[in-house]
Order: sequence, then structure tokens, then C-alpha cells
Amino acid sequence: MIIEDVICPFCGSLCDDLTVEVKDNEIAGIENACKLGYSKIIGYEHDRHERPLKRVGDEFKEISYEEGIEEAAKILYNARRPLLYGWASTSCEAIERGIELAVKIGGIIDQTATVCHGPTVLGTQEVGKPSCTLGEVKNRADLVIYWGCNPFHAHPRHAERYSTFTKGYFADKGRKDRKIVLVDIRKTDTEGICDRFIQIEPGSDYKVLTSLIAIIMGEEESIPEDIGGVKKEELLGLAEEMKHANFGMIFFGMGVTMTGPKYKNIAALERLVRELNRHTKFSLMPMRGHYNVAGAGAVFTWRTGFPYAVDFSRGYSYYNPGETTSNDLLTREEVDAMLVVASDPGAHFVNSSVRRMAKIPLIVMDPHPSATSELADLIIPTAICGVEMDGTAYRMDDVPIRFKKLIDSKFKSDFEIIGDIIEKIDKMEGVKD
Amino acid sequence: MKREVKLITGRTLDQGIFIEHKHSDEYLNAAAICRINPKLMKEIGVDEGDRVKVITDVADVVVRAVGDDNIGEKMIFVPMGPWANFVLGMDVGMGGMPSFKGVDAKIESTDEKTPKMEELMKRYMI
Repeated sequence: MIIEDVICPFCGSLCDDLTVEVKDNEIAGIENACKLGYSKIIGYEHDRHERPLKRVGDEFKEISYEEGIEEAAKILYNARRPLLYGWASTSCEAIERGIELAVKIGGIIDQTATVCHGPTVLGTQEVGKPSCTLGEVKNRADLVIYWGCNPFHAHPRHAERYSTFTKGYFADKGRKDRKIVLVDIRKTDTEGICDRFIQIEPGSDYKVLTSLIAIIMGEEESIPEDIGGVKKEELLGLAEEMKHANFGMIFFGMGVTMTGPKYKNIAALERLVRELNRHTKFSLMPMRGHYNVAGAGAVFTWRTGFPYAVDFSRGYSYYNPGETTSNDLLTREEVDAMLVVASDPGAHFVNSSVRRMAKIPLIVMDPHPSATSELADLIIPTAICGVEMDGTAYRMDDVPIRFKKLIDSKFKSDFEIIGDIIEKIDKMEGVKD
Repeated sequence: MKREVKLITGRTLDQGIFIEHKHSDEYLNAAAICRINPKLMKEIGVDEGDRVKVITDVADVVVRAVGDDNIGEKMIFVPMGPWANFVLGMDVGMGGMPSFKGVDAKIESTDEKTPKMEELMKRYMI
């Protein structure tokens, strides 16, 4: 059986043009996927835990789903400061249930933006995000700037489908109709598809961005000759190109969110785009990593009022990044039990956080063994969304897309397991709905 | 000989390809590496494929040296993952976001072995 228009469940580009061949309920072939998507879909069978596992001493013992769900409910019910983390590689439907669980147990729910585009959220709350859809970029953009991101490695088909090579209504010659610029601290492989590379010193994005704002505002005399390793002349040239574009676009990544003053970088980036809109049409977009991290932010926001790091211990939603964010909570050793869903903080959190995770009851729900599952007390294997389970995900431009189920699976989905845990907790004594 | 550098971590294509295969040798080869400017490699006395120790205020970790002309002489790049993150710490007061890039670190040659992912995670359990 050939399934067309398959959605790729890897990165935030959420490519929707894959063709997958299924034979006897197995994936037999994939077309149009990049190396990342191909590896994830074709490798679905690789390295799976067959059944839930419970740590007994230094060993893991196989248990049933029923026992695993009972155990997870007990751990979460008995915790005083439980943290429910992950959510960026599962469906919006599962995320919604996760929030219901967090409310029920008075826990904290956080998602991977906390170590990714969290500062983008904070910058946006300060300034506002002048953004657009990837369709508008494809059809209109004649100047594309990749700032502190490396789509060649992290979003391999982004340039082909949306931002560089693709032909659009006002860019019918594709690449020839667009000027492409890379701003980064090192010459990455993305430089190969760009017309120009502007190399800045590490941690100097804020300086460069605020200088560009000053130039756009007509205050170029106030700018020194060298700004973060960039010659003033070069910035003046870039500012002119920006002002004279018909539709300019900035895609930005972790190079901006993780360095220097972090969220202030994003606020500066958004102010720059605001100023540019006095001259022409300009827009910006964060390059989202996990395929549904944008969906996690969307579902969190419409269910709780906040996009990540939401604490329900007071009986209502409370949000204060720096206090209710996962790495702060773990480093302060506040968290006394943790549920990790579709994520690997054991590999991607900082040392002090992982050290805490190793000490507390840790439940992992994931299709594959991970660094986090090495530390787990309870592992509940799950179906892979986009391969073995359907659902909704949001692309990096906040467009919701329904992803497909390609094959049947013996594994339960995140959606089902979270629902079962909620049901168990409901039956526990002393819990009010 | 130790050299002071800025540690940059981040995604790479190979790290992404094997991200769901964290126990594999392919993931170890993709993520337990350190990209270094060849001039810096010469300074600290390592050749391609030799072991280097990345040291921060938080911890140290041994990874494999890979020469890269596009990396500045005062920085090193380690792909995001268990090895890079083992030496990273929490910045208090930065809105919840740790510093994953531009971290003060030192680098030196070593004869010690690169730990497998499972061995590295065990260090958290001590």
C-alpha cells in the first residue's frame, strides 16, 4: 500500500509531502524525506522496549501496561512537587490530557521550549512577534536572513520547501529571485546556500541587532566602526538591503536564544523587524526543533494561559520562568517526582538537573530507550506519533496539521496512557475532581 | 597543555539522524566528539581522532577530536547530547534558560577513554 502526503514527525518544518510504502504492516519504503525524517520513520522498529519496565535494584523487571499505569499513578499521586516534562514530540491531543493530569495532581507542566525557544516566548511577551506563515515566505520573500540557525543540519528541507530554492507567486524563479544571508559566529554548512555570510563574535548578537535598529532609525553616526566583529560598512549595507527588500524574512535559532542576554536578543530582533516595517514588509520566525513544540506552546496557552513552565500547585495556573522552569526546579532540588513524555532531558538538561532526576522517582514514556531511561524507575513504552498513531501537530509557523497513522502498533499511545493514569488517580482516595 | 576556549553546543545532522538510537555506536561517533580548529589541535598536541578532555567549572568529559577549519581558534563545538550537557551548568536569573553556547571551558589532550552513554549516565547516580 502506498500512502501519500505523509507528514514527517521529526522537525518543526513538518514536511507534508512524504510517500510511504507499507507492506504487511511494515514500513517498506519512504520517498521525499530528509535524512532525519527517513531515519526516524524507517527506524521505528529499532531498539524498542517490548513491555513496561520497573526498576528493582540495579535491574529492570518487565511488567504489564496495567501495572505500569498503576505504578505511575501512585508515584505522581504521592509526590508533593511533581514535574511533567516533554510533550514536543507527541500529539496535541496527548498534551491536552497531560495538562489535565497536571491540574489534577497540582503539579508543574513544562515543555521543551524551556531549553529551546523559551527566550523567544519571553521576548515576544515584551515586544510582540511580527510573523507570517511559511506559505507567505515561499510566495513573497526576496530577502531571507538565517540568524544563528543552521537549517542545513537541523531543518534539512526548509530551504528547499519554504525559504530559499522554492518557487512562489512573487518569486517564480525560486532561488534567483531571493537574496540569502547568513549571520552566525562560525561558517556552518548553511553558508553554502547563501549569497553572503556575516560572521559575528560569540555573544554579540544584541550589539549587532541594536546597531541595526539604530541604523534603520537614521542614527548611524552613533555606531562605532566595529560592532561585535562586524565592520560598520557591512552593517550599513545589510540595513540598506533590508529596507529595500519587497518582503524580508529573518529565521532565527538557538544561536540567538541561548547566548548573551538571551530573551533580550529576541526582543531586539523583534524591535528590528518592527522598525523595518516602517519601510517595507518584514517578518521573522523561530526555527522550531521538535515537530510539535509549536503545538505544545499553543495547547499550553489556550488551556492554561501560559506557553510553558506552568505551575498548578496553588490551584490555578502560575507562570514565572526562572522559577517554574524545569532546570531551575530540578537544580533547586524542589522536584520530588518526574514524568517525562516524548523527550530526553537526561541528554539535554544541564548536569545539576540530571543529577536531581537520578535521585527522584522518574517515569519515562517514550518509544525508544534514551539517556533519560537509563535513570528511570519506571519505563512505559509508547507508540510513535506520525508512524503508529495519528493526531495533530503545529508547524513552526503555528499552522496545525493532522498527521497520519501509517501502521498498526501493539504499543499504547501517549494519549491512551495519560488518560489511563488520570482514571487511576481519580479512583484514589482523597482526590477531588 | 590546557587552552581556554568558549564551548558551543548545538544540533548536527548526524546527531539528529541517530537521536532515537542513543545506545548505538553511531550516536557515540556523532555526539561524543569535539570540533576544533586544526591550529588549536596542534597547540594542545592532538591529532584527528585523539581524545580530548573538555573541562568546565561543573565537570569534565572526554570526547574525540575532529578537525574543523570553520571553527574559530578560541572556540570548540560539541554536539548537543549527554557528553556536551554533562559539563554544562545552570545560570540563575536568566529566565530559565541555561547557557548552552559560549560557555567558558578548557581543553586538553588526554589518554582517558570516552565513556559510553550508559557509563556517563551512571555518573549521575553516584
